[in-house]
Amino acid sequence: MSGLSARRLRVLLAAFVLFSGAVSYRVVSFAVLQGPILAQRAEAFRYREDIVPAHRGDILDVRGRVLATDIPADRVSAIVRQVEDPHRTAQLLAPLIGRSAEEIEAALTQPNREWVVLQRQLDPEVSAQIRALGLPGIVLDPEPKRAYPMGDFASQVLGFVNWEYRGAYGLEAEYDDVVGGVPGQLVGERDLAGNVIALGQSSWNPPKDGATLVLTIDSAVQYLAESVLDRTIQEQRAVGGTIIVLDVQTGAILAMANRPSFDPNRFTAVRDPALFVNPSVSATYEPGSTFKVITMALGLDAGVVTPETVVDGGAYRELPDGTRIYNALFQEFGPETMTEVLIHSSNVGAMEVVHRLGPERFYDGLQRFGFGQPTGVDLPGEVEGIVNRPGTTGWSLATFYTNAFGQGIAVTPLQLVTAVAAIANGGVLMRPYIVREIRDGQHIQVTQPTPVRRVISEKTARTLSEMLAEVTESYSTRFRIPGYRIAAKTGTAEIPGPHGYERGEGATIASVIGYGPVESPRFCVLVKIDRPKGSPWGERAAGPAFAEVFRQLLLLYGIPPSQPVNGTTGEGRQP
Amino acid sequence: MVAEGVRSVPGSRLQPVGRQVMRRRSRAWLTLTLVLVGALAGLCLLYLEQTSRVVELGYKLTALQKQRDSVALEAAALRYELARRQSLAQIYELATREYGMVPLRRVEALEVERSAAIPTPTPTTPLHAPWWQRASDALLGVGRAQAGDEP
Repeated sequence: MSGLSARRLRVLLAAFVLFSGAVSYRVVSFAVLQGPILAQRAEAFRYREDIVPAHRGDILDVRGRVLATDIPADRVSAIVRQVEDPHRTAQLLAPLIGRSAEEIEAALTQPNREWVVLQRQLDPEVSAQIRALGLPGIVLDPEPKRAYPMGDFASQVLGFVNWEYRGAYGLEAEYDDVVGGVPGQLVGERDLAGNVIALGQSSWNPPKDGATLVLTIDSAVQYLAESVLDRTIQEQRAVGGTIIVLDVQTGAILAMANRPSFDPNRFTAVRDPALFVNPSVSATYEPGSTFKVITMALGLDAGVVTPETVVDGGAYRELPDGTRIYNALFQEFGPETMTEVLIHSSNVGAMEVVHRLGPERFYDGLQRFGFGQPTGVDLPGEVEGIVNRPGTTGWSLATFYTNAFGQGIAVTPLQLVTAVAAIANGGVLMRPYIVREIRDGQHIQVTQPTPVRRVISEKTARTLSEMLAEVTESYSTRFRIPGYRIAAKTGTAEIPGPHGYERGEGATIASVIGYGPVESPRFCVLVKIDRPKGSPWGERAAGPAFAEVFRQLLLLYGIPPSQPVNGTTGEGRQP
Repeated sequence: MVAEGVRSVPGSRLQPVGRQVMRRRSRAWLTLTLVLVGALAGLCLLYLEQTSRVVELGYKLTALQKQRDSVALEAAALRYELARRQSLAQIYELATREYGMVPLRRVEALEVERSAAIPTPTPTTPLHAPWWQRASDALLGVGRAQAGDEP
């Protein structure tokens, strides 16, 4: 063998040894040193776990109209390393996803980030536009989006779904476990494209879709209530208000309109989170003279007064400590029957009733009617209200007497409606409810009306209804519902502040509560207008709205008039 | 004797008869082996074919699932659009602006006298035809209507 060949052979041998050494090193490195980590990574790549979101159940009104549903949407993200031109990408995406170009560029150039979500819940049209751009590194993933087809319709009742796709307020929160469903899980061996290999090992735990809720809310009545409320607030230059319509026989809530409200489709645009709360159950107010209905019910039921009982309706009542509590506007009515006490809305007359009842019977009665405790309605955030009983720090003799006409006591609008509905149906307090059915696949759970307790006798309820019907007739110059006998009572409540009751324009809560038709009551309606500036009085500020709601309600449900009507019966306005 | 022919005697050559038998046996073994190998290959091919089919079907299934999801999303979007168009505010706008409808302004209740109760018809007993007529009808395919039959 020549020297040249031997040298070549040695070089070749050295190269072979080096190559073998390198290969051996890599083999040892992969198989031994990094073996467990790489195996873990490979496992993770091959057996990826996907969470399959469950479809959230729809929310329907009693007529089957869709109030909340799921719609397809996309989430746009960026694989940072694959984005070729962050500046251009940001410029193109900015007008489409509603974020500034600078913000997007900053997100795309973040060091040590592999993945960044740029925007969520994009509309299909926007997704299509982004897809058409074909930007490298920009990825679209489907994700569900909650939508409310009627915008701000009953928004505080429905609530909304947050970014985590969980119910945040209203029924969405209260029934989150029911409508939310349970996400599924897919673990499977995948190919390079991420598709599950049919013959590979996989486990599939399917998602359980959420149940559909059917509400007692009648969209026609809700629309009527919201329209009337909007118009009244505008006319009275008020800051807000509430209208509740309740089925007195069952406790089903047919409408619950609140203003101001919000559009749950754009909840992120709301600056004041207090708007998300449902004031019908979460806010309290002093009910004022509407509370005399309850006082009178207790007085009649205890037998301390009858409709014909006459009291001296002076301008004020003087307490033992010399405190004088006056009628509104210091009016003096002279001797008045109990029916006249309601017609005049006499504070002195109402104080006489509680005086005859005594604190124990009065407060026991209030407790029976459900004041100072939640009604048990299936809505979140319900508060108890404030009823100061004797022996508590907030109670005094003055409190006792002012409670008779709805001052020094705080109730929620729903508490008051539920209590008055008990008088309407013959004396039985019903638990109010808003979800009529839960449809979970083949299983349908129907809510049954729940009587809580009897609060007054049937005879007392009938007597009081007749008295209240007379009261409504006395309002005929302000508002009327021709052809029908409606039992109602107005209220003008002052608003307590840190330095006593507020004074001046817009310092009252005007309201009317009533039910009808008296012969066979179907509905109880509360109209409450907050801080009206047109007129401070319940009769003027809330009365016409009350009459309008009742008139349309009776037409909608086809309830014929019970009294002969001369000429034209009802003069409707736009709903 | 064949038995003698196959028996090998130490130090002696095989007889021609014995060779033929050996050849036949070898051929049989070869044939058997070939058949076995062929069957095995066939089984392998079948297995490969089946596996490929299953994998192919798996991918088709995945594609169909994606299609189904996409159709479900489209249906959801349509349901939403339908619900949006059924919104009472939209209907009100449409009715008043496009169709010139106006809100109800006047309602009149009319008193209607209920008419006298309509007498309940007395049920009639079905007529029974004589047996010979029924037999004749059955043979000739004749059907007869009678009062009192349900409409």
